Amino acid sequence: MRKVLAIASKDLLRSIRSLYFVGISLLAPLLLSFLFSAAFGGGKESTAISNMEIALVNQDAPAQGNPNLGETVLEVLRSDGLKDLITVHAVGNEEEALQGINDQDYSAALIIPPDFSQVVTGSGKTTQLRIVYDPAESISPHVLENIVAAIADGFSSSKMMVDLAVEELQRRGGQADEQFYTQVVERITAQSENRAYATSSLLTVLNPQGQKGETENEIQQIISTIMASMMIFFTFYTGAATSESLLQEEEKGTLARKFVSPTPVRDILAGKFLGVLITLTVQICVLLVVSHLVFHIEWGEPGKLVLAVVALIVSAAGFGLLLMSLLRDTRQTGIIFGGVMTITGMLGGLFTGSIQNMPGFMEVLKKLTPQGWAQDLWQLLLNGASYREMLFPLAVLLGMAVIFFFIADFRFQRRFARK
Amino acid sequence: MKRIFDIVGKDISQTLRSPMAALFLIAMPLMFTAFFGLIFQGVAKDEGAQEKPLVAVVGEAQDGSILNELQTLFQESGELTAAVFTTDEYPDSLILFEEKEAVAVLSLPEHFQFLSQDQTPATLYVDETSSEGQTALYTIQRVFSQQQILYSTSRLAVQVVDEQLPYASDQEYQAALEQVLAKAGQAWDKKAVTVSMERAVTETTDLSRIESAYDQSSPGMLVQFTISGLMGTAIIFVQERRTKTLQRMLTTATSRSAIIIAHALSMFFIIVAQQIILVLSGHFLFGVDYLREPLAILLVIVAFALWVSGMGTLIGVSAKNEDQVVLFSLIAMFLFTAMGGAWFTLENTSPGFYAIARYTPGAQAMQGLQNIIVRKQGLSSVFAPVGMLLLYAFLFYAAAILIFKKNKE
Repeated sequence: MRKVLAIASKDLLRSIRSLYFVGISLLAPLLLSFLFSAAFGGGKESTAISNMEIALVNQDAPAQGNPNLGETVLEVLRSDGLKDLITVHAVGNEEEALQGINDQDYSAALIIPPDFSQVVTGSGKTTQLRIVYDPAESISPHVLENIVAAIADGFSSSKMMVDLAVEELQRRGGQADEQFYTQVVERITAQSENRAYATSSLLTVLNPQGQKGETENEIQQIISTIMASMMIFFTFYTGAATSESLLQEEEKGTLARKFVSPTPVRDILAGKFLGVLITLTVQICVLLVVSHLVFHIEWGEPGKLVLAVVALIVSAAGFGLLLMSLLRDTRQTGIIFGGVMTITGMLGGLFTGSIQNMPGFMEVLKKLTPQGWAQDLWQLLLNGASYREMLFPLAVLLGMAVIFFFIADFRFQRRFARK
Repeated sequence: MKRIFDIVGKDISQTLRSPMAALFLIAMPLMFTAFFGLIFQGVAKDEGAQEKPLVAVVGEAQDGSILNELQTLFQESGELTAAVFTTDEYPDSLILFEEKEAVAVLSLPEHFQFLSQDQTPATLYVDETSSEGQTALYTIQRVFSQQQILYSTSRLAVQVVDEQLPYASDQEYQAALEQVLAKAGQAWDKKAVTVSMERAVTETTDLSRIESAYDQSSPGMLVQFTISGLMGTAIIFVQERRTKTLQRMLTTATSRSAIIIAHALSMFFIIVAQQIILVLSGHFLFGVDYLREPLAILLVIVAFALWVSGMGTLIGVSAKNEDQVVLFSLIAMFLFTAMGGAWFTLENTSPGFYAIARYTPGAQAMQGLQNIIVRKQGLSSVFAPVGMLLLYAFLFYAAAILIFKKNKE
């Protein structure tokens, strides 16, 4: 046992002294999670959707003496309620606005047509507010569409109110004089001022747990999922990279020296396997602690977390050892790190974990890889699933690990028995 | 000059002899492009084919008319299906959500009506983190907003008329209100002001080629794997130092400058060739409209290759061993790919991240490519990103040359 531990501790020391290990096993997953956290606000900062740069082209040409309602649209878009969401730049013409979109200075442009005021204050006609948007953007144009549609509805309803009031007055035998129109305009103005929060006054939105402000949770969930996925990817990567020491020692001849010492092959392999397990344990513990401190990720109940960690470690170690047992020398390892790890990680859904409504074929492919089962297990952990719910993926992962270890051990025993 | 090209030829054959070259330079980016393209295509199709989310509308049995009215309005929106439940059936309406009977539960207080401003608001229980939840939320908010406009507009119209010509009784007032409300509903279908959405593309653009599921994944993977592909070439610097080939070369009449220029040139040629293959594959295999402005695309490719080879040279002269080359290359790939908008569009990112990320070399390359394939712009649209990439290339080369000259080995 002493020899097994000595071999394991030597491998561990070799790993943690290596800048490569620190970089790939610890720095890379944290860097990726940090990038995603910074990109999506990390629950502290709103996303760029809250800071849209919009060009406004006011072509409105009202009849002489009438107000320019295009200017009113501009004022509404620049109002306090919208100032955190959009920044509006009044530009001279459509060409200038389009150039701004092409240069990525603006996400979109709102074009107010020349007949806007005339349609709103006249009768019978209709008009259109045009939104021209950057086709490379997918979300912000639709946010702007909702805002502008609400403003357009305001104007439509004002015009409708005038028409309805005049019609109703005439139906009752009255005549719409200047005083009547003044009264209608006053009511419209008062209504517009109250409308900003009208919807919220009749509708309260709560999440099913009864908490408001779900966006923060949503971002935190995304970051937790990404961190878990990156941790799984790089744990499997480290499992293979650490197992490579068997091949390296074989090539350098140090393994042969161990074989001539009074140490059974089984003990040497056990030491090597243990070294992989301990290295992965160190890696995961560091990642869990740092991600909790830096990204405030709650990894769930300690008992369930321990189960998920154990399953991840043994499956990653087993998979790494299995892959190395299939190779002749270290010249072939590049294809494992670059190809096999990336492809199984990809099929396991580690790069697409935060995408919703994944196509059905992905769920099938996912189940063919240990990384896919590991991700399912960690997602259940993050979602606060019960022990019973975690049991199946846990059992599959441990079962896979046992098979991987068995095959790897068999192949290495046979290979080294010949030496 | 001949010496430089001898070294270039040696580097290229050394890189391409590796079995990993084809995998990293060509096979992996194409595989990832197809994978992410299929996923996003699949997601879009699945979203289209999905059943409409069900909203449970819960209220008192006596308020049947408003419950049924809301059910009809939600169904007519085309976005939702709706089912009515009474509080007698479900005293705790949240059970409908917990048992996944509905994606959202709209709970109406007793005697709820849109006409009244002073009342307890309706409560919508919805999980906004799911796409179905978001659909339910936005649709319900829109229906509420429109109903409120119709009711308040009708009420105000009747109030103004009442002040001018008072109604004889409350019944007459109420009947007039209902009549105006019915007219308002009809008028709303022919709104005076509507909103239209247009993509900012040139009028001559062939609209049938405007959207490809690979428009994001193809240039994104091109940027990612061009950066990661420099690993194989940058490692040559380290191998030459380790095997003392560099020292042997320095004993010849080849200058330090010639050696670094030759290595950089070999990297540049490999990266340009890799990008050309990826662009042609993107165009012919994935239907990405790269070749509508071939010269513009070539300019972006060349400028991007200059920057990537500059970074590869910097990594090559800075790294002490092969492991460091792999590590630095991977970090560079993660950093410049994520910040370049190759994995996700930058529009969704936080303002701080966006402000920095949009000026990174990866983002400039993405902008140049997307100006052609998505925004359908012309040659001049790539001048600014190409200029930025050339500036970055100059800075990275300058740093690499300084370090190489200081290196006394």
